Amino acid sequence: MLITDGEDTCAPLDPCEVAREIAAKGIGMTIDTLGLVPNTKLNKQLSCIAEATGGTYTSVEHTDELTDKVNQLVDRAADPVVTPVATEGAAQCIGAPTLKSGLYTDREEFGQQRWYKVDVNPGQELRTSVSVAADRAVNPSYGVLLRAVTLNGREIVRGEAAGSGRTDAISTGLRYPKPESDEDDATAETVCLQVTNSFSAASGVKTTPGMPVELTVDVVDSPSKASDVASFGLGRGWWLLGLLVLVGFLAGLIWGWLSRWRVAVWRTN
Amino acid sequence: MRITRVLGATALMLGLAVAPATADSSPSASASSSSSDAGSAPTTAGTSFRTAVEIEQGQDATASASTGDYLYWSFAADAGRRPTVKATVKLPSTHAAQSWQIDVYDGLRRRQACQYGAQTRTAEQGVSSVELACVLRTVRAWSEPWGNDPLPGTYYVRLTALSLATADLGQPVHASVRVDSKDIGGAAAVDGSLAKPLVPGIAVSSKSGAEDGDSSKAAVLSSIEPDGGWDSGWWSDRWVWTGVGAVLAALAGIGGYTLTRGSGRPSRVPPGA
Repeated sequence: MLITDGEDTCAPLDPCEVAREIAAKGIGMTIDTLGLVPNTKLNKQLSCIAEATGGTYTSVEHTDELTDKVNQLVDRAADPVVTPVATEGAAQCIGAPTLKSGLYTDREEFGQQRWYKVDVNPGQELRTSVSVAADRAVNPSYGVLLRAVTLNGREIVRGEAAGSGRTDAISTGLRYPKPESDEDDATAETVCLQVTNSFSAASGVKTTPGMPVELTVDVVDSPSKASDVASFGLGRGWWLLGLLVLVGFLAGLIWGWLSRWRVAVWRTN
Repeated sequence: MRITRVLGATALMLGLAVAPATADSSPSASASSSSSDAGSAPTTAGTSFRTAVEIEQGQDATASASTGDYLYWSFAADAGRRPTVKATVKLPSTHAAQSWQIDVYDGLRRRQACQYGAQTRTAEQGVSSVELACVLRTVRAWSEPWGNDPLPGTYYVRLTALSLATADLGQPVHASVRVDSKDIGGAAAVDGSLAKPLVPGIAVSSKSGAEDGDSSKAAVLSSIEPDGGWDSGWWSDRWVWTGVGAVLAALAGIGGYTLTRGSGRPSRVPPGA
């Protein structure tokens, strides 16, 4: 928590960039900033520090506001959250780290690719989602692409997202159910995951360290495959009733005529 | 250097000193606190997907925050239901024009489209509150992996100011969020089902639960479940429609048959024969 009543005087170091460097070192630190004498420059600087570490910025004008906010931030810090495991994706699928179910964090620079691998057994489903956080001033149009690719380079499924405007992160996800196999010696399939982003920034913005990437991986049982659009192939609605009544009526009519005809034939004989 | 005065420095030191300690001791401490206030609506919001505050449908969750914060909540939505997310933001007395937005993401953090509702709204200068709404598509029990259909599981709500003036950053705002859902019924009953709902971290949490077998609450990405558990998903009113259809078809068949028989005797046979 950073509480201040004035802007920094520690030029030439930019506290905002220092905060980003510290966050990138994997210390898992979030800086919540509180400004006591709000002005535009302080607003900008403190919210930049908060943005760089995924924290919040509040400008405080009254004492009771300060107490409330500090209590709120302390409470929030005490909540248990899942700690992500640091990993480092490779530039291509060969040599990429193999991930198991869990939460991972990585860094990705503008336009960089990150590859990971996940082993999926037959009858299992891979669920993965990725968030790329904008921890610095980025241009207002951005996107992220997550692809699941086989070892041979065939794309299985992709998740993509694009956005515009102010954001903390852009995220997408995908799921890949691997069908059951009849073979006894069916082995796990290695699925390559590719994460790319289309963030960009103005020329003055530092590109290193990369932006924080959060990756969730879940390998669960595969769902039952749907054999029909409707539940159990059942019907519904007035058209269905009308059709059934019509067919039933026609069937009764034909059966009646047939039996009359048979009776008539029997009588003449 | 004016930036860290005594107050700031002590708070920072305190924060740094306390952070590792709370990280170690927090599960037991917060498990008791979260169980004690279970049932009452949450009064905080998370700041990321990872820290999203779980809310139940029908609850009025509130949070006091600052303009520029990204507020995250999560809720559970089951198959056959169409969730509606409503949010109200009370703005400070003086502010420049700013626009607010709610985004809904599914358990895979894919953005979900709103069918209708004011997802983004601009508050002109001096307007005291903004009301936002998002009506999602109906949650399906199953969809192909290449589709983006909403599936049963965790949903995330993100509330944030989309554009604002720098002078408005950090101003206190008060947000409230409510999720309701409408039962769509058999019209949305599709075949197939997910083996497990789209709850992030479910592979980890179910594994550790089976191994440990104890009730101690560890930190999980999402521990959310709708009232009455997840739908097993075999019942829908399609069974009634189809059953009634079969009965009507049988009756119509009998009707058609009796029509051809007349009053029991062929009409051309004389009454005395």
